[in-house]
Amino acid sequence: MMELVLFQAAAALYTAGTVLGFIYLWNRGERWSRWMYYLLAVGVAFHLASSGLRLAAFWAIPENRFFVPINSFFGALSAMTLAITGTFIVVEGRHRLGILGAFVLPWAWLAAAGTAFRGYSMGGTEIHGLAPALQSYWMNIHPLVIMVSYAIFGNAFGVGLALLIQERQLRSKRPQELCYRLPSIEELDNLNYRLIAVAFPILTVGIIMGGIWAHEAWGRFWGWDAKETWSLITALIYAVFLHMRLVAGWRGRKAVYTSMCGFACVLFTFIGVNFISQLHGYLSAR
Amino acid sequence: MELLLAGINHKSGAPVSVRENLAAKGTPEILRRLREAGWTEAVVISTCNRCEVYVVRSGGAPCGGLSELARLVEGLGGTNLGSHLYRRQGAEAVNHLFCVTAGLDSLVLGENEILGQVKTAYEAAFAAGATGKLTNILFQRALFVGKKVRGETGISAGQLSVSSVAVALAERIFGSLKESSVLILGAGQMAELAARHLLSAKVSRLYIANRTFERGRELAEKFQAEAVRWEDFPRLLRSVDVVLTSTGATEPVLTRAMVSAAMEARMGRSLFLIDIAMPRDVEDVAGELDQVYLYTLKDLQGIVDENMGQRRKEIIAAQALVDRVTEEFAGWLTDTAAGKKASLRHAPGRSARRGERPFGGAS
Amino acid sequence: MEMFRSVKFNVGLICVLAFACGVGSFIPQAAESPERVEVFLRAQPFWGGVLEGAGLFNVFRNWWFFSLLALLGFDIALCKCLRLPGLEPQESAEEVAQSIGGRPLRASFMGGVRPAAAAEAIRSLLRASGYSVRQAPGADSDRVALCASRHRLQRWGSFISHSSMVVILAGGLVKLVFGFQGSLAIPEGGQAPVPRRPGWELAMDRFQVEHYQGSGSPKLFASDLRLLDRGRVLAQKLIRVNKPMVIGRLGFYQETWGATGAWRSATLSSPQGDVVLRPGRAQALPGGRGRVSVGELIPDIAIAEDGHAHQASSEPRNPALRVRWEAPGQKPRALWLLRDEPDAAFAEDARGVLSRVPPPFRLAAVDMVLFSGIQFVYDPGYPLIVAGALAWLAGMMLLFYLHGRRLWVLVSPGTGQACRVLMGGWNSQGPVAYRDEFEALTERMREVSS
Repeated sequence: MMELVLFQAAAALYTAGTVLGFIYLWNRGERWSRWMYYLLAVGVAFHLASSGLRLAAFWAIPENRFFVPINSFFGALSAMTLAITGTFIVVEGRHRLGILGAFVLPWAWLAAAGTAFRGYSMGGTEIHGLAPALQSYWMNIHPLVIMVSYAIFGNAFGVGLALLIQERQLRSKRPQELCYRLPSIEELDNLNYRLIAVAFPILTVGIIMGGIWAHEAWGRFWGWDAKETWSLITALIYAVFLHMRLVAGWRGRKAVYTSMCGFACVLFTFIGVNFISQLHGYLSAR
Repeated sequence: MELLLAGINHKSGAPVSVRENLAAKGTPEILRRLREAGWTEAVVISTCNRCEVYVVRSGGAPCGGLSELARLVEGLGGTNLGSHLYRRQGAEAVNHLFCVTAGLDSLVLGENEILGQVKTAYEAAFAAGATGKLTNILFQRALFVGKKVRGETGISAGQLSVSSVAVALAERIFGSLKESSVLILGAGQMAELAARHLLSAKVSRLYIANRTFERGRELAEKFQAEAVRWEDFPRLLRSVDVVLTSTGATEPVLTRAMVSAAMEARMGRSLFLIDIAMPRDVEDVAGELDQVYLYTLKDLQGIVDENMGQRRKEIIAAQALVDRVTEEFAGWLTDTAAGKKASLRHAPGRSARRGERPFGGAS
Repeated sequence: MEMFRSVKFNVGLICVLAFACGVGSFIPQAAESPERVEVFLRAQPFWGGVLEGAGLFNVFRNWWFFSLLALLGFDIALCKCLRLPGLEPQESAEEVAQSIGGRPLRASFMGGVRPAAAAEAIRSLLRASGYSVRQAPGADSDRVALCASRHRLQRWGSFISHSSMVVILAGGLVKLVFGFQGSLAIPEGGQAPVPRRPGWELAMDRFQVEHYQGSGSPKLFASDLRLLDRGRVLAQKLIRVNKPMVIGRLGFYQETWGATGAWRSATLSSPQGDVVLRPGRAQALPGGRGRVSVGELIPDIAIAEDGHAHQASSEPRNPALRVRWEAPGQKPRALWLLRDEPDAAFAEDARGVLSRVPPPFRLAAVDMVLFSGIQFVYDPGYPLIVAGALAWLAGMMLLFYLHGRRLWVLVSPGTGQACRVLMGGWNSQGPVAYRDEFEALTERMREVSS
């Protein structure tokens, strides 16, 4: 139970960080964003400790040994939370745009809340033995690589949202205080692109790794199951974004809308697909 | 020990010649005269909007009171000022000084230059050996209060001139203006004013296009800008980031079609159009294009008015803060005079943190 | 041809592909769930017919979908693979002068020395800063244009990643044309001929399955395989999921498993003692309770709405044995015994309808003959796809993670002994990432040319 307690501590810190992120949106005073950052960092530390305990429990089953425990909703969502907060800490540490907290952290918070809900309501921190198909070293690579890319896309979505708001502010001809708090259009546009340019290779390489794993398990790279199909759609849409931006010079609103479509696909691939197909879920064997 | 103040400012209605006379005397001279009259601690704040003399009357020294100080200032100004000269003493004088550094007494509410001017005045007095224990603490306190009021209230939030609003908006679009180049259409007075402001924002390049090339070239030489022939300016739209128009043309000189054609070649980089001409120089529909931001003089003026209004709303909060700090200071003053050991809190309580507005930037 | 090269056309093509994929994921696909397609066709004859006609029940294995993929591959090859980044024509001094003002980063300054000397100083400065520099051809006597670049390999990123897409698509095509696949269900100890490989037989000697305690979900299943070519052993391996047996490009993969319906022995227990049954033989029950013989085994029994017994799946989840019991002095009765529910038994009447009765004896154990579902795949495209994947990885790294920078410097004569230097900069990761370095370089250039 210690695991769940530690996770709840982390989730509480994430919640507090998110709230501070929102406060910073309306209140000048760098200390809000600084505290947001510190709380998140401590939250990640608690989360890592919780994950360490989970790993120990997971590895008590010999077949699970040295694989990551993401074959359950709790495990998968927890890993996703960690990926979002981790990438946010990196992005925020590099670019120091405290304002982004309000746009990115809600995703981390949602994932953490989902994890906590799962932990509370559905049989605690459920630990399952890995299905035979998941007993592969790819288990430690393919899902995690893809989650990292999703997390970075989540950050890019937050940046895109900030850009749309800034654009509206400037178009309104009566910019409010928020306009002066947000980074400039060009900076946001550039950051949105950079994040996607970092995440896109990770996503595609993750998908290709999945193909190679599938070939090892079933002798085929690609089976057009719903998850595979939607991950391909996600990659295609981000490819459209990159081409339109790099070749056709799409910037600003149009580019952001395209990248947001991509993120909608990310969400659908991660969550929505489980409602249309039983295959390729975090619990199923294929 | 008591603080005395005599001074004139833009509001007191004193003839301009007095301020000029006082300024002509020079601060060192005034300080010397004050010392001769027996005031050993004195600071003179002299700017184009005010001239104020702060002195300390200590119990022991043979120096005069408020009326003597007023007479001396009138003597320096060369005329009898009567009610135009304001006189304050004790807590009232402290309060006045704090209002000054807070920008509450300025012509442009909450402006920032006054902080630097007070600092210079204090440093000059300090260098001349005219400061003592009270003035040292008082002026450092005053500068601290000035910053505090600006930080905790919106008294100096938002820009108050059309051109600084334009520069602030450009920075919201392009980030730094260091790589941005600017094209000015027209070479009139407004164009010149705008050019001056944009150059102070350190844009990388300035182009000036005017229908009569010679006029444009004259202005361009003044600002180290590049003069462009009128017929060449549409081509420049592809590379410049900010276009400011202030021609006397009766028909729009910048049409939607021209802007749209330029946008094709800009690879998505935004374009900021500022139209300060009357009648308008830029077709209104040009501002509907993607990545094009069009602001007219009316829009900019609207923002200025709004900022002005916002600052006015902050007066009460700022005044309250100043009053509270004054009270604290006056209390300290009485305690010290009574020989009690007292200390000023350097970071006064947070209870008065109201009306905080996240609206940064200098005016 | 121009149309196939245009970005808009290809982006449109990608969007159409993405849309088709989306449609394919929502409409049931015949390849994955034929029964859902059947249900749909029965429920909606008209729309079902329309969808079937458009191939939407089979989006991913359809001629038009393959055509779209082929067109995409063709366009990528046309746009990218035929244009080697190294073969671009060199910019002339005039072109540099024309384009320098439109570069994302720009700077200009006046130098104090003659253009040629300034150019030389700038050239050696750039070299020392890790740039490779060349002089643009076509310069006149005193105007010099320099083109400099750093991490030039970045420019190959786009070429390599696009080419790798074509290679991967080609790998898919090779498998489609030359490959084959299918599955074999082989009972324990059985053999099956390998299709398209005359004389080859696959023998499955032993099948093994283990479950997790508690949840009952499988922990491991493995088949002991031998591949025989006219009796000669070509390969032998214990295969599991993720551990296939591969010979040449022909791989044998553990896919499914189940019960064949055959059995070896079954143990009945009653208070009077146990008895072990064998197929095809009647056995006397201890304590003089008559004789039993076994008729049929259902590995996963379920009772249908009409009361008949039927098989829910081929997995041995809920095995049931139909025994014929001749108790002394009674008519023979047909009884269903369930291994996993010892308190229940079902009597079958003449019409085949089951009714629950108290069990006269229990089915303690049944040794079922299992089969292993082996997927065989011949995939000659495998090396191409793996090569394409590696190239994609390399291409992505170069394209997005290597920070390519380019500089253009135009040195032209100023007034008197001075020169005027114009600079333009471009980098692959966006101007923000390069600005500081660009400004520092400008400053140092100003120093060396003053």
